[in-house]
Amino acid sequence: MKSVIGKLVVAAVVATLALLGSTAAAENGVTNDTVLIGAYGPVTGPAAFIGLGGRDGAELALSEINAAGGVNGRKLKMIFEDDAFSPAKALASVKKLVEQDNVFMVLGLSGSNPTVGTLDYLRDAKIPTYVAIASAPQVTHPFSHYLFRGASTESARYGEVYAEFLTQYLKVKKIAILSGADENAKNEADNVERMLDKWYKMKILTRAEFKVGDKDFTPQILKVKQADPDIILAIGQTPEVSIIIKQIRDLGLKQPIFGGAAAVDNSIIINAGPAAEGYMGGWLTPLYLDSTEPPMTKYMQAYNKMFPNAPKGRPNLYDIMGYTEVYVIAEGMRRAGPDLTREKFVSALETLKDYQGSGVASPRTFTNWHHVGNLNQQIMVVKNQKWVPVAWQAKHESEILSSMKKQ
Amino acid sequence: MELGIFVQLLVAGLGIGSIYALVALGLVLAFKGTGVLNFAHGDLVAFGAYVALFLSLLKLPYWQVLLGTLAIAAVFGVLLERTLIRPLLNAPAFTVVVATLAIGLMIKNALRLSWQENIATLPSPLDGVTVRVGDVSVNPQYFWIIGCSIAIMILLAVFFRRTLIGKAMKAVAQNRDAARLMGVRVNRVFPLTFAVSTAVAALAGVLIAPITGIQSEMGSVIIKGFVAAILGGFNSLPGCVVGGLVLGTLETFGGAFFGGTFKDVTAFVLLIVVLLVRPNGIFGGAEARRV
Repeated sequence: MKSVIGKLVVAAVVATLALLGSTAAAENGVTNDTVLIGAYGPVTGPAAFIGLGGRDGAELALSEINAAGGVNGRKLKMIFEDDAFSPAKALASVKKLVEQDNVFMVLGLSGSNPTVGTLDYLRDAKIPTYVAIASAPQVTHPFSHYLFRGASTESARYGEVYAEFLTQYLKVKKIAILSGADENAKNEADNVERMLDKWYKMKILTRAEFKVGDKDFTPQILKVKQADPDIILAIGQTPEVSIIIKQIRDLGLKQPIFGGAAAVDNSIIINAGPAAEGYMGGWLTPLYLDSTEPPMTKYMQAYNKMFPNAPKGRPNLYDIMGYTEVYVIAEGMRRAGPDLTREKFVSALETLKDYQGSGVASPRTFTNWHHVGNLNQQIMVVKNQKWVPVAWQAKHESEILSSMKKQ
Repeated sequence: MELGIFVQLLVAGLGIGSIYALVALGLVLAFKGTGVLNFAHGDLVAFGAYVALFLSLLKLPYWQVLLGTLAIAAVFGVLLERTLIRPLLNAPAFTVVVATLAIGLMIKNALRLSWQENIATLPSPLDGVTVRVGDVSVNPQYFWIIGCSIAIMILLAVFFRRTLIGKAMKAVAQNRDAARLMGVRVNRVFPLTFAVSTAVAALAGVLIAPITGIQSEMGSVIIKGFVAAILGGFNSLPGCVVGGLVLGTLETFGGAFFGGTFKDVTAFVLLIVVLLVRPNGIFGGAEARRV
């Protein structure tokens, strides 16, 4: 710069920037009247029902909380990114939310595979991260002060609850498993086998695998028929399990059927028809979607008001999970106080004990040595073509917590 | 292996094979009439199933649902041809193939967003009926599927060989410009072919739905339909049916002997073996061209 005026202009610009910088927000994503939450999940691709549900459920909770005045005078705002169920896209989404949008925290509304892709980055960058839906163990193990898991449960927990339910409540001795070859189903079935052996010294009779997209399961079902079990476990996704239930009955097997976590759905009852009577499975919240209990009817009213043209099949489980966990997050922010920082937020979350932000939620507990928010599963059974809760709660202490305690 | 189990596996294999045959027929029909390999075919099968689902929710009787679906599918096929395929007629063949892939994706995603039930079902006159002979049980819907496949195969074979329009379609598929020079109205043949092949795809969707349920990913059956068509000799309609039945049966027995996750492996190994021995498929003749 040759001229004096030029140098003065540069100096003025630099001084202004310095002043602005020093009055920037005290914490990322927090201003006097807003808290910015960054969220990601699949809204395109075959897993879109997860992200669409999670996102809309979260939006419903946010609108309710904001209508009631927000949290400590601040409104909550969500920026949502589509990860198309890809770990690479999930990581890119999270980086964009943290580095470009400067969000206060990250809400994970995606499945296990994409979520796992983001964890190293978030852990290293010390971003408060609340995973509502994924069950992959890496979210809570090893323990990180900044990563929380909410409504969903650890994948190992399915094995614990099913093993206890089958042996202690149903008292069956001979179990056969039909399981999907995809990651979630395989892990779920592996965990059931492992816990049946570890806790109850029981080996399963046989296990047959199938692939997502298969339309005929005759070879696998015949293999199970030959083993002559007391009960058949069908662990996989809804489309396959609904055909499996029909084909099991068509092929003349009369044993009761117990489904995996992804196969508890009204559409299975409609698809399998009378064959679904007596079919059982685990559900992550205390009430099923068509329950007539007041908390669920209240939820449905609010949902239908905000989304009057919802497509068939919505709201689904992920709507509920997105909804309940935003309430948990809001409670954490409330307990952190008006001077909201990331450190205060995560410490405040750790004070939650059996917190139920909404009548449709399971109780949420975090401590300063574990962030496993939910270990509850409600076993449901199909009675008269409707899902009805079974009056049974798991009592055996979960190894997930007892193994963390020792550390 | 026990006889009862053998027969049950055979029946199941022929059943699933009939599904592959029906899908393959529609795919080969589109190819025979236009020379275009329609990668959207599987998603058109799903489209047909969803249209039928929508119509059945209007409480229409089954026959009206079926005919209504075919009619809507035919119109949709013409629309696709007019808006998305016609502009690409002078593009390289590969461009058209990629365009059909894109169309399939668009249809699939539209279905995903508009219907988010994990799986839906189509009421059918054969609901709840199971045919049992001794120890062996069959879903009677499979008879329907194989019956329709054979009927379509015969009708189309007669159509292509005996009727003027059929021959015109084959000409268009072979060489569009030469066909034009011979007086064939390519602008009429293309939409007609798309209308019929979309209707066949929709029929497949309606017939398959009571067995497999309706969900947005059901179009993935096109891969097996494709394999069945190649096995049978890609330009051969009877080849589709034979290829489909052979594929379904061998895949089912492969699953029984090697485990459920080896069904796909069996299918593709079979494909490779057949192509090594008979590169033009079971019924395919080598293509001869006058130079």
